[in-house]
Parts: sequence; C-alpha cells; structure tokens
Amino acid sequence: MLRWMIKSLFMEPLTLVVAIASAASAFLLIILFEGIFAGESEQIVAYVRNVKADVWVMQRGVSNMHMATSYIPDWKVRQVRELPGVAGVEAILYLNTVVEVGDQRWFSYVVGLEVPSNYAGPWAMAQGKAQPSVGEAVVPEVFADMTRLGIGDTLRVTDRELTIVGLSKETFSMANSVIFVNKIDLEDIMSSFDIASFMLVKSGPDVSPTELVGAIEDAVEKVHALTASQFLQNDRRLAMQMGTETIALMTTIGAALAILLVAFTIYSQVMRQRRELSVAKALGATNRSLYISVALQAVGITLASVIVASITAAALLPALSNFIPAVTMILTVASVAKIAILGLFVAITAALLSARQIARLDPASAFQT
Amino acid sequence: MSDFEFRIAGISEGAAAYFTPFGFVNFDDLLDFYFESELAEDLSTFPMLSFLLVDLESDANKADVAQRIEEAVPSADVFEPEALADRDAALGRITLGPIFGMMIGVAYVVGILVTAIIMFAAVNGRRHNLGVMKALGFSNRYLLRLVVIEALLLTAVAIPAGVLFAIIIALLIQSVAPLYLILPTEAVPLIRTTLACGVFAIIGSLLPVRIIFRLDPAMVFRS
Amino acid sequence: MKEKVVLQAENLVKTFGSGHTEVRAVDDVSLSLKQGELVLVMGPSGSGKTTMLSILGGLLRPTSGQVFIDGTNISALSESKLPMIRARSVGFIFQAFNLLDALTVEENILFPARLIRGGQKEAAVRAADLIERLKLGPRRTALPQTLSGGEKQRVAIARALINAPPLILADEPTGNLDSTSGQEVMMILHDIARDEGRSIILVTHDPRVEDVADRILWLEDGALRDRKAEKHAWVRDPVCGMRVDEWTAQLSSTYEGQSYHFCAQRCLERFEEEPTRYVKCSPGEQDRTASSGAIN
Repeated sequence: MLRWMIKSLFMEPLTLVVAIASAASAFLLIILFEGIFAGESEQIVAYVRNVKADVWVMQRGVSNMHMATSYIPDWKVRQVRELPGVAGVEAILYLNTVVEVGDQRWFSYVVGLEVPSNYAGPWAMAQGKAQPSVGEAVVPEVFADMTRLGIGDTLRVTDRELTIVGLSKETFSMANSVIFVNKIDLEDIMSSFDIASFMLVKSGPDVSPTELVGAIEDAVEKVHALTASQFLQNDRRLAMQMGTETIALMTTIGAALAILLVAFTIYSQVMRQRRELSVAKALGATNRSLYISVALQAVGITLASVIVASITAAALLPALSNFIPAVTMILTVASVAKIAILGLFVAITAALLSARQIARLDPASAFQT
Repeated sequence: MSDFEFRIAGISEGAAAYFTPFGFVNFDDLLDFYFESELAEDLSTFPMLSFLLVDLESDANKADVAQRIEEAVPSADVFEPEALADRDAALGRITLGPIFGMMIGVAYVVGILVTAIIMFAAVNGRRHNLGVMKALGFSNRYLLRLVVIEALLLTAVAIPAGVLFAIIIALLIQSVAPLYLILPTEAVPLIRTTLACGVFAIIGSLLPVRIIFRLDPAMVFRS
Repeated sequence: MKEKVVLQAENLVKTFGSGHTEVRAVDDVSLSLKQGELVLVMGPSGSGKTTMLSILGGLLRPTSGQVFIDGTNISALSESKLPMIRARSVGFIFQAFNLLDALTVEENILFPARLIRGGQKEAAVRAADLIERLKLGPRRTALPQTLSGGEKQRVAIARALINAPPLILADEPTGNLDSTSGQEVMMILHDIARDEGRSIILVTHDPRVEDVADRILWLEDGALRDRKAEKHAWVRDPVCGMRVDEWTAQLSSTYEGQSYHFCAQRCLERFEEEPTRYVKCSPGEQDRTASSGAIN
C-alpha cells in the first residue's frame, strides 16, 4: 500500500515538484523571518556584546541599553574610578536619535566617546580612524554604502554637521546603527554637560565582576551596576520580546499557508487517484489503511518541503545578507527544528482534511467504465 | 520607570505602537525625577522640554506663525503635525522596509507557485476535454489562451475573497493583539497586490503549457 | 468437488431512490453457486447485472435479502469487516481492467496479498506461478500503460487469484478486448473453474461464452431466471427486424394464430395498429434465425 502511494506520487513528477516547492516557500517564509529576527536581535545587542567591559554602570532604574535613557553625573564616574578593584572606567554618552544624510533619515544610536577610548569605541574597522575627534563621526560601513557616503562626507545629528572619518564593521542593523562621535559633540547636541549615560568598567585581576557590582552599588548612590553578561541578557531579552508576537503571527500565517498547500496537493492527488482508490477498496483495502497511506504521502511531501526550505535557506541567507547588507540574517538550528515540528503538524492536518474524501469513495464504482 | 514608581490612573486608547508606546506622566513628576537623579544642580542649565505643541488662533496663518517662531528661536524646527507624522512614517518605512520587502517577495513567489499548482491540477483533470477540443480543431495557442483567461478569472474572484479574508484576519489579530494596526485596504498596496496577482495568474497558468501542447487529439477515440 | 455451496444469495432486493422515482435495480434475486461452477449472467443494459454483482461481492448493501459467501453472511457484517471478506474470499475482474498505474505487473498482482497480514512469501510464490501460467513472464516489470488489452486482463485475472479466493466475480471481462484476446481470457476463466475449483460468476454480452458456462442466467429488469443451456431461439421482431430471444421475450402478440415477439413496446403498438403491413410470412411461420445466433 505504502509503496503504491509513494509510486503514485511520482507518477506526476512536475505536480509533485511544484507542490513541494510551494509548501517549501511557505516554510521558507517562516525560516527567513526567524532568521531576520535572530540576526537583527543579535545586531541590536552588537555594541553591548562586543565592547570589552566587565561591568556596566547606569542610572538607577535602568537595566539595559536598547532604547533606554540613562544619565549619570560625571562626579559619579570619578567615584567609581577610585574604587578598589576597578582597573578602568570609560564613560559614554548615549542618544537615540535620527541622523540625516541629504534628504534621507536614519534612526541611530549615537555613542559619544571620551577620546582616546580603549574599549568603548568600534571593535572592527573597515576604513579610516576609530576615534572621532570633535566635529567627526565614525559610521557603519553598511550605512555608508546605503547612503553613498564616504570618508570626508558629512552627516547631520540633530542640528550638528559632522564629518565622517571612519567606517566601522558589525555596527549596523535596521533597527539601530551605532554611530560614534566625540562626547563633547554629543554633550553640546544634548545641551547636557558633565554627564554620562553608561560607565564601562574593567575589573581588576583579583576582583570578579559580580563582586565589583556589589562594591559599586554600595559605594555610589542612585546607580545600577550589572555584570556584562547580565546586561547583555537584559538587552537581548528586550530585543526578542519586541519581536515575539510578530514571529508568532508570521509563523501562524506560514503554517496555515503550508497546511493549505499540502492539503490541496493531497486533495488533488486523491481526486486524481479516486478511481484507483475505489478499486483498492473493492479489492479489500480498509479506510484506515488508505488514511494512513494518504497521511504518509502528506508526511513525505511535507518532509521534502521542510528539507528543501532548510537547504534553500542555508544557501540563500548568506547570499541575501551580501545582496541586502542592511538586513542581518542568521539560520539557527532552533528555527529548522521548529519548522520540522511545524511540518509534522501541517502534514497531519492536511491528511485529516482528505479523510472524508477517502471515506466517501464508493468501492462499487470500480465496476463503472 | 527609571526607579520611580507611578500609579496607573488612566488607560488611553490609540497610544500604543509597535516600537513606541506612549505613557503620560505629570510634568511636576518629571521635575522631581530630575531633582532626584542629581543630574543638574541648576535646572536652568538642563533641557527640560522636548517638544512644544502650539495651538493657533482661528484666523492665524500656519506658515506665517511657523516662520515667526523659527526667526524668534533659531535653534528650533517647526513642523505642521501632518508633516511630522509623515517624517516619522517615512523613517519607519526605511527601518522596516528591507525586512518586510524581502518577506513580501517570498510571499509573491508562494503566490506564483500556488497559482501554478492549481492551474496544473485544473488542466490535468481536463485532459480528455482538451483533447476533444484539439480533435475538433482548436489550436494549442487557443487552448493556452483559455487556460490563462481561466486563471485570470479565478484570480479576479479570489482577490475580493482574499481581501475579505484579510480584513477578517486583521480584525481578529487586532482584537487579540491590539498593539498591531493592520490596514489591508490601503489603496496603493492593494492595487499593487492586485496587479501582482494578475501577473501570478499569467505566469502560473503557463506551467501546464507542456501538457496542452503534448495532448494527442487521437485520444478521443480511446476509452 | 462440485457439491460445496460457495455462494448463496437469498431474496436480494436493491432499490434506489424513493416514491415515484424509486428504481428496483435488483428484484428478489436468489441464486446459489457450487464450487467450481462457472455461471453466466446475461441481460440487456440496465438490467441490474452490475448492481447484483456489487451486492454479491460485498461492495453494495442490498435493501433486503442476504448473501452468504463460504457460509458467512456478509450482509450481516459491519462495514469495517467487509474489506477483509473481499480480500480473502472474492476476486474481482473488471471490464476496465482497473490496474494501478504506478505499479508494475508483479506489484499489481501482489496488491491484494499485501492487504492480508502475513503470508507474503507464499503470495510471492503464487504470484510467480500465476505470471508463468498466464504467460506474463516477459512483462513482469512493465507498467500497465505499456500492456495490451489482453495482457492487462490477464494481469487482472492473476490479481483476482492471488489470495486463492473461492469466488471470482467478472464483469464483462472481454468487453474491451479483441476477439482473440477475448477468447483467450474466456478459456483461462474456464480452466480456473474446472481445474482449481473456483466458482465464477461472469457477466457478459458475449454469446461465445455460453459454450463454456455450466449455467446461464438471464437478468432483466432486476429479475433473474435460468436460461436453458441449449442454443438460443432467436426470432425477428417483425416491425424493426431486430432479433429477439423467444424464450425470454416479454412483449408478444398473436395474429391469425401466430405468435410474434417484439423488442420494444413501440414495435408492439405499431404491429397491432397494422399487422398486415408487417406480416410477410405465411401464417404459422415467423422468421426464425439459426440457433447459433447468426442472422440471415
């Protein structure tokens, strides 16, 4: 029975290919979206992930960087710097704002650096210098490509024109690009002087980051200190949280589409084969055995679709990332596993939808010419 | 918020947005926040206001007033509400455009493949009828044209059904997750999608062309 | 060998529709079939032959009546039990062959065997034997689309025999075959009944088959009656000239002491309006055809 069902599927190879391709596209939609979400979420936390701080200190009540506002007076920076166990402190000023390039506008995270900075600035450069002086900016390479800017061109942060002196790598995402400017410029833009947003603290050799967190909060009032891993976790969680519902929505739509496509394929297959299925019933095949065989057909088609979608995604995602550098995409094992489980659900549902069709086949019609 | 506790006194409608929900607090509380945070000893040096929302007298001319404000406060920019909203919307489109553009592209590929599979099944199931038509003298091109027209007619019926379905799903999503505003009947995207579906219909109906061209009209004599 | 009753049908009635649209497709049919018997069922189109065959094979439930196959009352069985009865006890041979396109000759033959748990090795041996006996060896791995009509029907016969059922039901097995292939198939069926002791009910219009049948039954308007095994008594309808079997004719009229038989009510009415127009023979004689069925 199973052999017959599988061979029947291959009787019309073109139909089978189109059916698998369509269902695979529906799964690809889900994988792509998950890949984009995973990639962009990682990019959102790229700054926190890559700068080499052990402890982050911020205004009390703040616990992440993404879309947060934090102000700490400069004198608290000095306080932390003088604490035992602190090997170094770099303070940054931080602003979510829109950056203008010609008539284009881009949402960005502007990080004001105290220059020279050892570890709070860009961690990888494509071109130019990494430490912006007053009146200068370091922008993501991808951002520069998209806006057709280069070293020596200018961009506008609020009402301030800054000259591009460096192109950084791994600092661009659609939701936020990280632009580095001199802290003095940002203080001027914000009209806020002698303040910082975050302190990036290095712990000494004999102090663990956790111990340092406790020491800082004990010594300095109205600040919140977190180890780098905790801070990163908070940021990542927030970024993921923003997309969870959308992901669920897209996954549901993709799954529904896949169910419809597989169900239609199975329905067409049963319709095409209804005479043969009637004959099989006449010869003694039970409804149950036919249901199982059709269900296995559905599983086969869905499995093939999942495999095609996964392979296509694995090949496509890096290519798409090169072609559309603005979008960061990551193919995760979790998303492929998710698709596989979803695929099983799709197959079973699609097969169930054809059960009534099979039950209604009349074995006596085998005698009709 | 930022280490300050606020008691919820009211729940607004329409102020939620995907990335930027709006919460409203009393301005005095904001002053307290600044005092508490020790950010500035002298508040006169600290920026206290983000935006000024200006109401005009009934006979005032917007453009004139805007110019006068800009002359009086050179460090400020003045926008009419619609212009500001447009700028924000444009920013949203730039930010999310490539992502959703890519997904819509994949969805378009799905659309073509779905149309193809449906037309393939339709033609396959009617091989005998089409064979009879060939025997009676209809050309391959004519039969292909028939199939394309059928696909376009199916699409014409499917589009309003699809729009209706989209409206229902949008209402459902918005009732379950009111954060999302879904506008399936916006004119430009709707027209674009309709045209795209027409193209899908034509491309998809070309898939069974091989079946049509290889149909043997002599089959009419076989049972 | 011929004493065991393999099939017993009692007072079978099958109606379709209701009220004034009700059609009695099978009207109080009773028959029994002994082991090794080859029974022919003949009758005009629409007489209920296929319906009767479907009921006997457990494909259709009768409106009333019972069917026993090898002592089992299949009419009393639930729907879920019937497939196994069909797989084990009934072999079907269809006019349209109904081979499964995706399977090879050998796979088609083995298909019913796979419906029964266990015994796959024995089935494979039986399949090999059937393939040889029915001269399908060179076509073992061919797909149905590449077979001739005769080959397809031989595959169908082999498939019907694979589970060694006591009963074979064949509906117009030669209907789609040329005369040589048709004769070949008939002889195979005859040999199966005679040599293997399988009981066969054969529905056909083919008069040549009468020569090999043990019994001939005539089904018309759902009712069954025995046909004499002797040759036909064909007479001509005086109005349209069509030949009519004198023994089974339903429409008759007498004119000047002579009986005339008609194929249809219309012919009867025309005759009765103007008998002299149609009576060409001398009184006492109606044109009789030769009993072999040939019409002059």
